Amino acid sequence: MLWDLLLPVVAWWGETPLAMWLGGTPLRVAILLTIHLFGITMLLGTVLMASLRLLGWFQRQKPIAQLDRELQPVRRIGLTLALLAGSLVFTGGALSYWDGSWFRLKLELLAAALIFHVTVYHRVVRLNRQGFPVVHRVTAVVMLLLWFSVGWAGRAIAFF
Amino acid sequence: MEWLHELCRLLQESPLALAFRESSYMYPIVEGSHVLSLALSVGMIMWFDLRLLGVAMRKDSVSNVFEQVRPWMILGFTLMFITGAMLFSAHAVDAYESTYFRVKVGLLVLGALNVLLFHSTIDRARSHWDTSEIPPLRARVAGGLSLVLWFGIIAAGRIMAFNL
Repeated sequence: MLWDLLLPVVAWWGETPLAMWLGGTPLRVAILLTIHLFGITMLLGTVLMASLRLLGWFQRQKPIAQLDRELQPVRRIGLTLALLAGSLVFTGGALSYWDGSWFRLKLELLAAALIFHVTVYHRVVRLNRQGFPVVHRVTAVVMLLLWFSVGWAGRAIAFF
Repeated sequence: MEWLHELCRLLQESPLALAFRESSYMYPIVEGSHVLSLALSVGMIMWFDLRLLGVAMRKDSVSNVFEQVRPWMILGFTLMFITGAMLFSAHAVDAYESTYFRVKVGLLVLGALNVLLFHSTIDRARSHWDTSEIPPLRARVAGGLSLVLWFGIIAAGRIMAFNL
């Protein structure tokens, strides 16, 4: 529904001079994909560390609020790089990405992961409960599944 | 090196490599695992590097950061090595001929040398600077080098995959 609604905008965006330039040579795309992967490595690394902490398998002595504060700069840089470079890769081939079902799934999963992060995960951090309650474990598993599904859907775009 | 080239050809043409290369699910799964294991390997080791640089987790001792990160990092690098070897077998000749792959291997060797040098020199005196918020220069250099090398390895691998 929303996907079809935005189709004209995407068609226009894919014809802009920036889009033409970005899609011009494979090297430009390769460099952008590299920066995208730098961001993913940093971002998913912090997701893993926070999740493992909530599961009680990593930094058990450190309160989650403190670990989260320490992870924040790298998570922000990672997310920014992944989103920026990802948007530029998309721009270079907008319509062909937009039509793909894996791309759509990737963005839907990304939206779900971001919403989960700013609602449930932020709440867990704010409450900063001691120990390893079930809520923490469930949050960790959902967070891992959501973020790594985004990654798998991204790989699937390239293959299927 | 003709013999190495020949060895790569034999590997790439082996029935196992052929079946793997042409499988519709196995190959993408192994390739995806290789890429996503980066979060465990480089995503973890970078925190030890940042601690050595005196940039992150300054209140934790260097040993504590290392011990927390180590098991996950080892798991990550084991996964990367196994999946990487499988991917290599499927494209051994192309990889052998690829400049990016050679750069990647070169950077991996430099990374290993950096680790060896670090552990055999400044790390031997770690008890003296374990709790320093900013470790001594040689430890910071080792951490910075590791960070640069790992991201270089990611770049070489990513661009190589794009050209295969």
